Amino acid sequence: MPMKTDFKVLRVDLTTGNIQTELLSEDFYKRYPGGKALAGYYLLREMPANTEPFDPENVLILAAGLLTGAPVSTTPRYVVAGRSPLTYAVGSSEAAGYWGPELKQAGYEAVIITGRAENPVYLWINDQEVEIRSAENLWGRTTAEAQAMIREALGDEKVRVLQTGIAGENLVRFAGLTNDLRHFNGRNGLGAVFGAKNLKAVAVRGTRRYQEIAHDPDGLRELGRKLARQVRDNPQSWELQHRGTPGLIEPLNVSGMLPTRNFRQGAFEQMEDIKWEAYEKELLIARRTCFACAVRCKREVQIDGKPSEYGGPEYETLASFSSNCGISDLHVIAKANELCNAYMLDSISTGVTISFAMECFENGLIGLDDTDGIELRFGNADAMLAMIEKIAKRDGFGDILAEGSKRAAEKIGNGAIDYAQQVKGQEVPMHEPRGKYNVGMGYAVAEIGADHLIVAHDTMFTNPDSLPFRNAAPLGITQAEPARSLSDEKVRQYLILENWNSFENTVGYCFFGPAPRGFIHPDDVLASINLASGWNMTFDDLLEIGERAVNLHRLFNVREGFTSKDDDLPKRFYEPLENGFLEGESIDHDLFLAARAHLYQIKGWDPETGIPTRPRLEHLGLGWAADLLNL
Amino acid sequence: MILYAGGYLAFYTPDQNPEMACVLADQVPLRDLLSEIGIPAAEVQLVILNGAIVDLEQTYVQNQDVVKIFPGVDGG
Ligand code: SF4
Repeated sequence: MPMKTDFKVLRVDLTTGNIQTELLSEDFYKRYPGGKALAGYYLLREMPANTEPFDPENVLILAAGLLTGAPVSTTPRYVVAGRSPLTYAVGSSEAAGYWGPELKQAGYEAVIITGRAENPVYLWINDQEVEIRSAENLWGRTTAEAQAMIREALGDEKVRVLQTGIAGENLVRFAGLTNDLRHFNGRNGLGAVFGAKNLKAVAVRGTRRYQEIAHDPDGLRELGRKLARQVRDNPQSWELQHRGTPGLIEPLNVSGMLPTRNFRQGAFEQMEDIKWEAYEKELLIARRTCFACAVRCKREVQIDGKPSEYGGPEYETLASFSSNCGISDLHVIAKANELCNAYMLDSISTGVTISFAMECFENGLIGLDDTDGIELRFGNADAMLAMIEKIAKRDGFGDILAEGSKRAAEKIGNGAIDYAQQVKGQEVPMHEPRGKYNVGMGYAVAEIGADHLIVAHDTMFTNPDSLPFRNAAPLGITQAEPARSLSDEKVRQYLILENWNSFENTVGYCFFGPAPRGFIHPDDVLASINLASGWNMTFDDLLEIGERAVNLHRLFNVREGFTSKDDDLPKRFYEPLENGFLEGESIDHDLFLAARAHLYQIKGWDPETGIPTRPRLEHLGLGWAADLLNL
Repeated sequence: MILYAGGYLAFYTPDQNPEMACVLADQVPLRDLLSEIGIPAAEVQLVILNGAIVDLEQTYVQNQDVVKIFPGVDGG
């Protein structure tokens, strides 16, 4: 046994109160080493087909990865998975922070939660002691209040709390989860699945150090030290440390890729007011980090002269509430961020659902009678803040927007769907696919709906002498390609990069760790896996882990009736951008669909339907899944 | 001239400050100036000279100019 652990999984049935543990074999864990892969396995195996997301039968998986909590920078991630109430597809959302490492320290790889509690509860995992406790006094509280109350009740300030908020209690379809108030499983509405199960939080405290389970603890520690020193020597991690993700605003704006006014435009005329230098001057008070991470990309901000309890807005939040809604007041954006985090709404879906409604309003599809008297126009900051409150509480028009932009558009009718920037019901994040075609492909085909962390972005691979490009060579990317291309080579690169990111989401790496997006050379990524596990893996093995996880997610969707029709972009991206560096540019729909068919083919999927073929599944060790779906 | 090194390009400037003032004796190719400062041309994806987007290889700069350079940016 190269790893010194018994790969324990905790099972909790909230209906019966039954709590059990089971052990996984190392052979099994080697194929599904945590996170996205392990969650994909359980979702497919254990959730009955056609389970309604808010039914007790929805299976919630909280899974750390092989490396989660290792003494190596950028390895704190874990995944929360279940059937998404926003997309009705597989739901899977990662977060960094502290909760995942704490779960590992408590001795668990994953927690599987089924059923529904009769009254609000939270789960308390204290090493091997596990208890379901009443959360009746926590229901209706902000996340900051709830965390403080849980810590006080347990008499330990260091308890790590993963929780839903008021939005999740109210079943807002894009309610998320937070740990330590600053790290978010934002996407796919899994906070509402917590709410539907009457589950407020999962609090964890553990004492087992990662070094006790690592195959080569000394080697791993040495590698971790080396990587921590490299953070300052790499331009990408240096930038993250100094500016954090808000540093993206200006470069994206000048490149014509800053989503503006619901993606009609690619440049925001008031960018100077929201760019990093303004953020630093107006909001920034400190920098923070995640578990054992030397990058320190998290920002602390002040609002109205007081430190926020929820950390500062990341780029996605910043852009979705500023340029995307036509608003340039950073204090308003910080307030919007605080509201989302206090009520626990996904800030991307919230911003894009509001910008959708603003476009409907400006085009006369809805009026003051519909919006409870609110002038929901681009640039109206008060209206935006009011609408966030209303969504979280499902108050008035907020009740319609709480369904997400796709369902809201169906209700509004009159062509409103053209203004809903979503794929599979999930709102598009803050990266302009008309400037990065592989990002667009990721939006379209990702099993979880539109998301920006499916592949490293095209702009990294346009110059063969650039650092990100050179760092991608061990993965098999050796030919520079334009960002706005869907050549066969580009599609081949998409597949490699998708499998690589999926591998990261499986083992617990943050997107900002491994190259090409991050500073850790692929050789060191491979070394970290082998030092932790002793498994002697190769790059091909790592990519195959990622591919296996993608296929599990795809099979979940196939079983629920998703087809290639669901793998397409909103109409807007096939139309020209109205301004900025890419003014007039659009994606050719036919070209896009042809590239998608080619992608399906090289994935070993049917090029027409996007359904995985049995030979490919068997190659990935998923013959059991092919049997399950009669493929 | 004023050079603004956007995104992670500021990492390569001498004091890791995005903005620097350069005094030039004559017109110089921007590529040569960047190389002197230590900013790898391969990392530069977009150049804005006095408000207009230009091609790095064709660009000469002189004292009154304001130049902004940006790398290819990923997400996050
Ligand atoms: S890079 Fe940033 S988000 Fe990722 S683990 Fe480190 S501090 Fe957290």
